[in-house]
Parts: sequence; structure tokens; C-alpha cells
Amino acid sequence: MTAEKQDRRWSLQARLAWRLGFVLLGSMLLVALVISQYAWFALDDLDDVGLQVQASQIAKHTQVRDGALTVELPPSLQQAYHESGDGYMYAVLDPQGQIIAASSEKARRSFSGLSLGSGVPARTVFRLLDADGQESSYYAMLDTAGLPAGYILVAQGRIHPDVFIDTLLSEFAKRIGWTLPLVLAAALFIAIWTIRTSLRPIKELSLRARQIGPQTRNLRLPTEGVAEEILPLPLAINSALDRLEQGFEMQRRFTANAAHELRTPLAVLTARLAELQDGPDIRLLAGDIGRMNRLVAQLLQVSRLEGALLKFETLDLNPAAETVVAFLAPLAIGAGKSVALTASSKPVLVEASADALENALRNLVENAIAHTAPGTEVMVLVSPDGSIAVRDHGPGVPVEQREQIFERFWRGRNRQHPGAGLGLAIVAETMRGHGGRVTVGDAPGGGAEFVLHFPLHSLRQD
Amino acid sequence: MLGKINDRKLPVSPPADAGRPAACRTWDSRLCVIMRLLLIEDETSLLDLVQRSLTRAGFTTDAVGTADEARGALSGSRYDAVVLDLGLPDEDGLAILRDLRGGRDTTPVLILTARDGVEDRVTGLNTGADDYLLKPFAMPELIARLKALLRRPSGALGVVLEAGNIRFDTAGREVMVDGRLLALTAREMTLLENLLRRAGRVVPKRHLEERVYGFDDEVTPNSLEVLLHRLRRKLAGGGFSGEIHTIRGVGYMLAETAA
Repeated sequence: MTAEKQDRRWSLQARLAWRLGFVLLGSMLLVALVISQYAWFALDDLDDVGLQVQASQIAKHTQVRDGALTVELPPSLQQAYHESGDGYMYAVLDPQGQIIAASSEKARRSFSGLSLGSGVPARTVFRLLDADGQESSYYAMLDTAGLPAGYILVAQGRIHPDVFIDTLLSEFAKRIGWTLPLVLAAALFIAIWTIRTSLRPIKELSLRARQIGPQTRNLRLPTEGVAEEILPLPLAINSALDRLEQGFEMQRRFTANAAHELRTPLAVLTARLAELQDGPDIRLLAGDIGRMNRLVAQLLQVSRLEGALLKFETLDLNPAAETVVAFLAPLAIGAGKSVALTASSKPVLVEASADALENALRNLVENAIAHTAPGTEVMVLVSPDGSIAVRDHGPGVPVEQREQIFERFWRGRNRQHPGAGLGLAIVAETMRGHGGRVTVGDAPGGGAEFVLHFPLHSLRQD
Repeated sequence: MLGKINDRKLPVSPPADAGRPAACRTWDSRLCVIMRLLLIEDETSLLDLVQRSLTRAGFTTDAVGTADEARGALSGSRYDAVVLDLGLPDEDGLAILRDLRGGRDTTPVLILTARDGVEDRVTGLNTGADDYLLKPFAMPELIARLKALLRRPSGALGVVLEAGNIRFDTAGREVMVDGRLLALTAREMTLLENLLRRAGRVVPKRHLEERVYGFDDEVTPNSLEVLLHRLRRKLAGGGFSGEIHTIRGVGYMLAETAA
């Protein structure tokens, strides 16, 4: 489900890429639009200027001779008019509006229909009408062009604006447009590069954050090299972690202190009881106090396990198991039972906290001694795969309880066993802290088999 | 109790017969050793109870409640062993231990404390403590550990080792069970001596092999077991009240009484 969600989530890079592309494309279109708009206005000016130039040229070659206007164009100009194929036209009118000269028959026809009202302004630009009375594509100008009398009419076929703009745009695309993908690529490259470099610390941050746990509360997120915009996040998280650690530490110290403070009065109680005459009641009391002692010891173990940052070192499981077996052998023998060790022939190196490892194993062996039948042996077995098995000859653990027994304060259906229900929880927590686990199954000869699995030293060196 | 410290600074007077420990009344008085212990513990009710138990077990004890008093007691007389609580009101108990060892004093010291971190234990032992017992503790455990300390060759109980009805004079190389002499070979005696010195605790097989066999001896994996088998038979034949247990894969343990 989370994978699906993540698929729908856009990466910052992709988001930036398509937004940048969009903006670049948009700005290109805008530029094209502005250019064509400008061209459109420029076209009118171009028309006007063209007409004026024509008119003044015609006027230059028009003289008044004997009271009448005569037009004598130089051959080159005549040629030009001819070659334009009526693209350009002119006509010279006398003051009465009669056409005196024209560039061609078509010009004569086009201009003949014009009626010059009185008060024609000095210069008028208009559109010629075609035969049907529709507006043609010719722009015309009526101008006196500095003549003492009469008018000059010039016209030119309008440059087709669509064609003009198309040409302009295709030129634009050819000369400038090709830079669009380049600019886009450069922009994307810079954007992605910036994102990558400024987000790299975030990857480190999340790697570090992943390592923070109850046993590694002292770790903090790095703030060096983190972009200013991101910096508030690790700073805030770090200060939150500080507060959490303080609370955690207070809680842990309370448990530790409470358990610690209970020890001396319990020692007094134990000693006082030893003073009394032995008897059934005294033995019951001694049992109760023993249970209390165990509970206090386990509470301390829990507080240490949660609090203390486990100190790992490379150690051999063989001597560790030997220490525990030797320590608990008198207890087993006192109870009419025995305990034995099958060490591995070679050292079994694991990365572990000696204290926590011995506590966990001691809890298992104590349980096994308590549960194994009188006269039987508890076997502790060290294997080269980094595990220590503890087998007893007791009733075993029913399959349906094999999960629950590792929960805190869980104590089976018959509450005859004098445990507080913390021992196995401590074992499970210890193993989690070591990146290992504890499992429970059937021992080969009947009875329970608890196995502590530690990751081997060489496997942890990644 | 404060008065006692001042007493200790006086030249040690021979103990009155009435105050003699039970052990000395039972056994040949020529071999009787009176063991003096200094008990340093600030919790007065615990101090009182421990002192009573130790007295009943045959120890003579001086009890003090502060580091200051402890220093006074230690400078005034010699003790066979010291039971030291680390959490004293005026000073850390470790400072006393450090001063003691700094002055080349090898008196066995057993630390009695509520601190049970592995680091506390290591610090204590590195500073020169001989053993470490965690509160709360069972009185027999404290007594057994003290005896084990005193059973060392240099300890007050190091010459004549006792466990149950067995009595081993290490100087005279004599083993008596219920007062009857038991004939043992030299190796059997060495083995028994090492087990007796750490009675009630497991002695690693390696440790025994090193003590019993020399460099030149041909030792097969079960040499020690064969030797132990013979020793067990002889002890049983002599009427030994205790038992030597095998902790397979680890070593052996001599228990004062049969389970």
C-alpha cells in the first residue's frame, strides 16, 4: 500500500522538470506572440512608409508644364512598376480628379471610381475597393505630395500579414527556437544538480535517523552542510530528541533508583529472617523475600537494558557460557539437579555486551533449573553458528504460549512458579538489542529448549 | 560500636575464652584460628544483623559505619578480611580499598554493594577487591565467600582447610575425615586441596589440570576424571559427609554436604 502511495508521489526533481519545461515553453510562446503582434503593427507603418516613398518619388517626376501636369518617370522606375505586376500602382490626378497618368490599365480602372469630395485632407490612407465593391487587399494613399496642384494616388498590394508572420515565426523558430531544448536542458541540469547537492544531506539525515533507537538515544542528526532552508528540520528534531532523552533518562533513573533503594532494606529483611528459627512459616517467608529480591534485580536489569547504551565488544560465547554455568551450578546442585555445558570446539565470536549476554543466559538457565525435573540435568550448548541453547527436562512450553512467554509480566496459567514474569522479557529485549533473537522449542529428550541467537562477529562487519 | 574502634587501637589483648568462636571449641584448640573481620556498612540494621551472623559463624567482627571510622580501624589493627560497602555516607568505599592496596596491604576485601553494573564490578575488582557480593544476599552465601577468601594459601583458613567433616592440614599434608586419617596419593591431595579451597564453588577443569599435573606429565583428556573417580571412592569409603559434583563441560565442585 505504501509502495502504491509512493508511486503517486512526485519526486522534487520530476516536479521541477515539468514545471520548468512548462514555464520555458510558455515564455517561448509569449515571445512569439509578442513578436507577431509587433509585426502586425509594424506592417501598417511599413505600408504607410512605402506609400509615402512612392508618392514622393512620383511627385519628384511630375512637373507643371503649360498649366498642365506631366509625368515623366525614368525608365528604371517604369520598369519597376511594370515588374511589380500591379503590386504597386500610381495615378496622378488633376485638381478636378481626372486621371492624367497611371502606372497601368488596372490602376486606371481601380482609381477611376474614386470621387474626390471637397476638403480632401492633405494625406489620406484608405483601402481600395475591388469590382464587387468589397475591400481589396490594396492600400492606397491620396496625397498632394508637395504638388502645386493635383493629387498623386499610390497603392500597393498589402504584404499578406499571415504570410509575413509565418515567415517571421519560422525564422524565429529556426534562429532562436532551437535554443529552447538547450535552455530547457541547461535549466533542468542546474535545477536537478542543485536539488541533488542540497538534498544529499537529507539522505544522510535519514540514514542517521534510522539508527536512533532506545539503545542509541545519544545519536543526533548531523547539521553540517545542510542547506539553510532544511536546517530547521534537523535542529527541531534534535531538540525533540534531547527532550525525549531527558524524559527517558528520568524514567530510567527512577526505575534504577527505586530498585536500587529497595536492595538495602531487602538485604536487611533477608538477614533478619536468617536470624529466626527455621520452620515452615519462615521458609514460606524466605521464598517470598527471594521472589521480591528477584523482581528487584530484574527491574534493575530492565532499567539498565532500556537505559544503558549497550557496550558492545567482540567476545567468545564459550567462556561466557562457562561463567554462567559455573555461577549457577551450586544453585542447581543445591536443588538436587545439575547443569552441564557443551562448549563449541572453537571460539564463537559475537558482537555483544558481556553484562547483558550473561544476564540473559542466567535468566534462561535459572528458569531451566527451576523447571527441570529433580535429578535431571540442564544442558547449555554453544554452537558455532553463534547460538547458545538451554535444554531442560521439564514439562516444556506449550506451542500456543511460545509467543506470550516473552511478554512482560506474563506468568502462565498456573502461577505456582515463583517468577515475576520479567525474566524472559528481559531475555527477548536483550537479544533485540543485539540484533539477534530468542526462540523456544522442544528439547530433543522432551522439555523446553530456549536458544539465544547472536549475529556472528564476522557477519556484523558490513 | 563506635567504642570498639577505639578499643582496636589498643594493643590487641588475647580474646577471652567465652568469646571464642564455635569452631575453636569443636576442634583441637592448638589449630584453632580466630578470624578477625572488619565490617564497613552504613546501614546500621544491616550492619548489626551481619555482625551477629558472622559472630555466630565463628568470626570476630568489628563493625563501623563510616569511611572515617574504617580508616581508624584499619590503621589500628590487622584483619583477616574486610567486608566493604561501597555506598558510605562520607566517602566512596572504593577510596578505602585504593588506600589499602596503595599501602601494600593484601588483606582480602569482599565488596558488599547494591551497585551491580558490570562496570562497578570490574572497577571494584580492578581496584583490588577479592570478591564482590550483591545486595540483597543470603547470609550463608556471605559466609561461604568469606571462608573461600580465607581458605586461600595466605588466608587465615589457608593452612587447615575444612569442609563438612573433612579436615585437610596443608602444612602437614594430612587429610582427616571425622578425625580419622585418610591415605591419599600426592596428586589426590593436590586435587582435594584445590577443591577444598573453593568449596561450594565450581573449580574449572583446566585450573585443576594445571595444578595437578606438571609440564612433563602425560595428560589424556580423562586423566583427571580417573583421578577424581579414585578420590571420590576413597572419600566415600572414609565417610565424607559431602560430595564432589561434576559440572560437565566446566569443572568440579565440592559440596560440604550431600545434596
